[in-house]
Amino acid sequence: MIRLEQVRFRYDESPYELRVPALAIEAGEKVAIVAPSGAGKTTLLHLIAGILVPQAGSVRVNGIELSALGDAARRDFRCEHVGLVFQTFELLEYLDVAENIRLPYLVNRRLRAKDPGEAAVRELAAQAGLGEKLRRGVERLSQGERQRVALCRALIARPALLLADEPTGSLDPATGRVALDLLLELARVHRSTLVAVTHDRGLLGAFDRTVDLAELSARGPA
Amino acid sequence: MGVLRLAWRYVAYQRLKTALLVASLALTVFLPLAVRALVNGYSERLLARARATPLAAGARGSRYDLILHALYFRGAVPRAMPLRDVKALEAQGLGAAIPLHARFKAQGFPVVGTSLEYFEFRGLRPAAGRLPLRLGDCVAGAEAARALGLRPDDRLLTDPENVLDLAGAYPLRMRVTGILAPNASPDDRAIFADLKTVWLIQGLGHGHQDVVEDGDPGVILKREGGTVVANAALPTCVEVTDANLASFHFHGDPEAFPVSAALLVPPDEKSGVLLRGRYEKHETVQVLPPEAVVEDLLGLVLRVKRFFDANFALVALAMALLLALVVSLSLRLRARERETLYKLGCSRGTVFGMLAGELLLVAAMSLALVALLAAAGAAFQDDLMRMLLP
Repeated sequence: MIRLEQVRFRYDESPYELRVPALAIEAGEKVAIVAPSGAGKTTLLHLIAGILVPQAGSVRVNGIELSALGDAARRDFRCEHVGLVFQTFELLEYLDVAENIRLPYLVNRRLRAKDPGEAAVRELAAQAGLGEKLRRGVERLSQGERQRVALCRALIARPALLLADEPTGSLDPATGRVALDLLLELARVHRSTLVAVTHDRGLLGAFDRTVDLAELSARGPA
Repeated sequence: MGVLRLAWRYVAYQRLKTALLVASLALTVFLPLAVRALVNGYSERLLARARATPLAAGARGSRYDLILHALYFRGAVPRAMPLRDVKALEAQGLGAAIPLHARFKAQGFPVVGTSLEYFEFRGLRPAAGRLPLRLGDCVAGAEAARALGLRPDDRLLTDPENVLDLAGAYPLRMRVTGILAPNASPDDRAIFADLKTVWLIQGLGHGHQDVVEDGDPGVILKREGGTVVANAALPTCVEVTDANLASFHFHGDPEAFPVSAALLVPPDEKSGVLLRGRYEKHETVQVLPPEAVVEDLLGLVLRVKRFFDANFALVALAMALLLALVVSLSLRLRARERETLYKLGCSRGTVFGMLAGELLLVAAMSLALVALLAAAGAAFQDDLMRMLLP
């Protein structure tokens, strides 16, 4: 599903360089990525999502070499294959719950042609316990509910790959646990591969395996 | 479609910000247009009246005061000239002279003393009742009648010139004999009476009890031959009626009675030029072509308008800079939103298309508001014009 080889990435004017000699994640796996702050966890997710392109090495997802694609092609790839969950949810406050869930279809022309319609939104929202709140403005939701909306938005296009960046980072421990369980459950139901970055080592047991990015980088020069 | 929908949802969510932007933009566009339309309409109306009046005459003094008074019954009352000057003008044989005496008011509307020729000259005809024929009668312009709720056979009291001047002209209770049909001119807001009726208001004539036949002997101060002098206790009439009409009389030489202006109607252009030539060096009377004077006056208005134009240009520039500031601040505040949309698969072009859509919607709403204001302005244009006309 995901293959990274000899990947090197450095932001402009940054002294730190992310190095990933080799990383493989199989389809359907639920993988947690841990590392100290600033080690490049989010950057790694962005490389896998095709948001960033490495300066060296190869990133292949579903057999597609992302480094070889242009910006538009990587965007389309992202729309079709990747669902993204952000730490601070990044919902649009001027849209209601249903519109936020459906947002990928509203903003991507290619995806719009495959819009499953309101029924799919309702079904997914019901699975996430948001069935009664579809027309509610997101600013009137609790943090936990917002995270559930963000999960639904990531899953609406039925992506093969779900990338979650600190999905419980903005939630209290109890709510975070509930959100993670939902994330894992929805990933299972939708048969998505899940790669989640987390600080919370207490949650690692819920994943199939854990990748320590610091250890991974230290294995050898990329 | 998706992008426009998002743009609409954003501007709808940011109601206050959108409303402020729309109002600011709309006013920036509307105000210069409104001022231009008003100035143009104002100029056209002033000029139309001036073009319809070949010449105006009056005592020497301010030419603007004379024309504004003779044509629009507004502004300062020019110095009066004696009726004999009007007759002298007519005696030139170069056209009719229509006297006007518009010094007084009734319920705030100018009372214009004139002759029946004025109605013919201006094309005024009664929509109800008839023109004033008897001393003390008047006819009301359409709008004055509407404002005062006048109908034929009503009574209309003139305004005292100065309530503190006990020796001044007393109000006269006039009989309204007719209401003029509207003709979209200052005539609509005037009350017309015979010249003699206005002289009555001025106190040059009066009606009172016959001191010899019916009067209280106590009011007689002295008798000298056929002349009887009475004191102020002699009852005087405040209204002309059929019963007391005969008691009304004027003291003094009617040829010396005042008129505030005269309209001259030469039969052709040449007669007008001759008339102007003959009065060019006249010591007490001036003969003016209203169109030239009004154009001169409008030159002043247009100079003021140019100042407004420059002011509006600066305001528009300031508005554009403020808008640019608002947009740039908005872009900065929404940087994360743009980044999120990009990560979710939205192209950067589409993101900026969405922002452009928001601006377009604001612009469209501003234009709609401008159209609405323009429609309202058009509906109230006549009222505005009346407020503005001198």
